[in-house]
Amino acid sequence: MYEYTNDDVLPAQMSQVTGVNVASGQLTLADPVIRAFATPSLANVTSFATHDVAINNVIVQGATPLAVTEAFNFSASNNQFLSDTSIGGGNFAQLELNTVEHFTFAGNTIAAINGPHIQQELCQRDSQNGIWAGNTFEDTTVGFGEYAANITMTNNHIYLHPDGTGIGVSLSGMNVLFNGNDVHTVGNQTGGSGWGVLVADVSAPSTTTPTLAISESPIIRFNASLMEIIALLLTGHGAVASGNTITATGSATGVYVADAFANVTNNTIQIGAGTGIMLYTPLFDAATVTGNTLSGTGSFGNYIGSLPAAGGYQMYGNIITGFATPMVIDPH
Amino acid sequence: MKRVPRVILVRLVSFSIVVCFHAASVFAAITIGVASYGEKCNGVTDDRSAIQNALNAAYAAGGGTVTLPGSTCLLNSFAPSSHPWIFYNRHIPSNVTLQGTAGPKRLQGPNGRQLIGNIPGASYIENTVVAGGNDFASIHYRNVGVFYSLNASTVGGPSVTLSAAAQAANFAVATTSRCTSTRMMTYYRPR
Repeated sequence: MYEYTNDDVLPAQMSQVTGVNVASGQLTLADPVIRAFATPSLANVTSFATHDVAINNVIVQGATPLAVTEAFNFSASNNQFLSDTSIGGGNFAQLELNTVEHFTFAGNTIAAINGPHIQQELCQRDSQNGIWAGNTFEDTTVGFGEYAANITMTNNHIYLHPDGTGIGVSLSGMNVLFNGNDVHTVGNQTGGSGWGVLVADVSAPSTTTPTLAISESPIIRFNASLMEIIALLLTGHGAVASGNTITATGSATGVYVADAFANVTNNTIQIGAGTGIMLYTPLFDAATVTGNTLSGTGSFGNYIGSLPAAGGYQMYGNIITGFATPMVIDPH
Repeated sequence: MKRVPRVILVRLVSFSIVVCFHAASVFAAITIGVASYGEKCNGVTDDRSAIQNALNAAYAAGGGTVTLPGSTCLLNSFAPSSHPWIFYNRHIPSNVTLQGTAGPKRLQGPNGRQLIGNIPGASYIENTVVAGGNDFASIHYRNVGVFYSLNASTVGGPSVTLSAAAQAANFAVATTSRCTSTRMMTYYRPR
């Protein structure tokens, strides 16, 4: 199903037909439509689709270890996908996962070998209903988006080898759950030309109700030397960050809330000279910040940089220690 | 979904057994050892064709598992995709599982890659070791040639309605299966 049929990456959703009513023209779908489509059209892609493919327990080493495109029901478990970045020569080195509906990656290692680490795009182009569970990543960045939906990342081990640009872990799409993962930076995250963010949700374009939950994920060994580094950035509408442990040194910000109706609850944030939690949501203000434990040596524990609108901010039950000023309201 | 376990034994070229539980009689399942197709997996001989032939045989049998030995299989040649810049060593077709044992490595050899210099105008090149899905051309789904308009007010739940009801006849109902694998799989029946 497409919002429109031209351009490169389009808002779309795949599903399977489980019922056909020729009299009414109604098609029943295996996966309900979750996005708004103002001018929807439908294509029958059956003749192109690959389905029910699996790869288990092998080591795959080469320029691009794995590419899966336009497939229903793909699973990969207990493999090592090793991008040989010593090859060069214009070779694409990332995994290539596009338009995959219903997939599972479990217990795999995804890394580079024989050369520098690389960015990994985990699932793009309308990939939906996916699970990443118990995988180990050794990359400069990992992330997904492009109208992704219903993606769960649980109990993964993410070792980031930052190159000073971009987002360490970018989570984009609708109904994303990032739970129980541990995220490490290997070496120093120095920011530079990128956002300098360790973990961020990036709301997918044209989505009306993106939702994301980041919970119970220990985010550790985060080193920073520049102020603009942010451990956890919430840019999606209604994002939830709950039960995480964020440990950072240097001048990093712990959590930065940039869009409305975020819930930042029950996190433990131990940072150096930076700000614990910053709220700056200039367009639509409202957030709930409760039950967090913040400690650091910087100027501000909670920094409120914008005035709340309807609903306001709800901030209570936070334990803030060590900062020069536990909370400051300084709207711009 | 209620599953009806049944055991299907199919002999093709080799000679193991896979148990396939399924609710609809959608495909048989076989297990193929790639040695049956002449693979060496000694780290020297090019095993690409042998492994691909085994994968293709599993697909031709209606689905199954191709097993790999616990040694290094060299993939030292490549095949084209429909994209002029993109090549691959192995392609896993529908209903096929590539199953390794402990420690087997699929190693892309120096001749297992196309060179960008051989492709006029290419700004990059993609040499994929294992490919699943529709041979990398990620816009195939949009090249079906026919798009059917939907009644927008019906979009947003478990069903959609075509603007022209009779066009529903162009769609078929998928069936469902489950083989011995890591998860429930929904079979997508080719038309």
